[in-house]
Amino acid sequence: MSAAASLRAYRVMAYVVGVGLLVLVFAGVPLQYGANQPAVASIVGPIHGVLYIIYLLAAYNLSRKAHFSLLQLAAMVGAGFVPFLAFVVEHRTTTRIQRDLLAFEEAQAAAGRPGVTQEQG
Amino acid sequence: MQRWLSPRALLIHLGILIWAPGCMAACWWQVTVALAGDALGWVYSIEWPILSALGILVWWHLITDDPDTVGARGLQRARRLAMATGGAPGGGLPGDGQTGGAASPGSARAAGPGVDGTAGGVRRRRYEEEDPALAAYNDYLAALAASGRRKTLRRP
Repeated sequence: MSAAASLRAYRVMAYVVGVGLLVLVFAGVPLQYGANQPAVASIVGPIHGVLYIIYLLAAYNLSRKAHFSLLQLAAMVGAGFVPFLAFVVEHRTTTRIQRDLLAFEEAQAAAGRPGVTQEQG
Repeated sequence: MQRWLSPRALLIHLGILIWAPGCMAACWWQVTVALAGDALGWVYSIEWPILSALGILVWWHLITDDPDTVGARGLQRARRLAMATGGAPGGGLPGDGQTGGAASPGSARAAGPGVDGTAGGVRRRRYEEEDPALAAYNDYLAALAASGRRKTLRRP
């Protein structure tokens, strides 16, 4: 998977998980505990759980390719259970990677060398 | 041993010591929920151990990966190589015979990872096999490239 494909996968999952969490927190939970109607939470809850695992895999895959720091890794994990954080982290991550990694890969390709996204070691 | 006991490593250990047992506790909580009659609990009691295992995988990578090839430091180093060298990193030796002037600061840096005695994994070996002269040449060319940049107060 190229860096660009990893970034796309991460962005899609960040939006899906971000929206799913908003539905869960601002619709599912109030309905379950306020109106005693657990239908939304019982459907969105498990789906969000499974998607969150896929999101984590996509985020971790990207973090290994894009050389993330510990703090960025923690922010990506937290995006699954802090409302709105997914959108903030996604925006910052995408901006940074489009600036840094992809430009670096182009420079490497122009010089005929393998980029950092290829397997190391 | 340094890679297991550095401040960074201890922080990572603390993280996994909270994460992994925390996920397993949540798993057990969901098992009790499921046994109490809510079938939804079974779904969550499968999901939590997966999160726990994923955390252990990340923990292992963070500790055993060579910090000079992964993370922010690895990117800096790769970028410097890309900026500085004409040949592939680790292949050939473009600076052979020209490193005289720049060898002393460069080789001091290149000797750093080797002398702390943390050599262990396969990933580490790749970095240590790199010729010190090549690393010095890369530093030299990086300095040359940097000298062409705009002057600032910090870099007059």
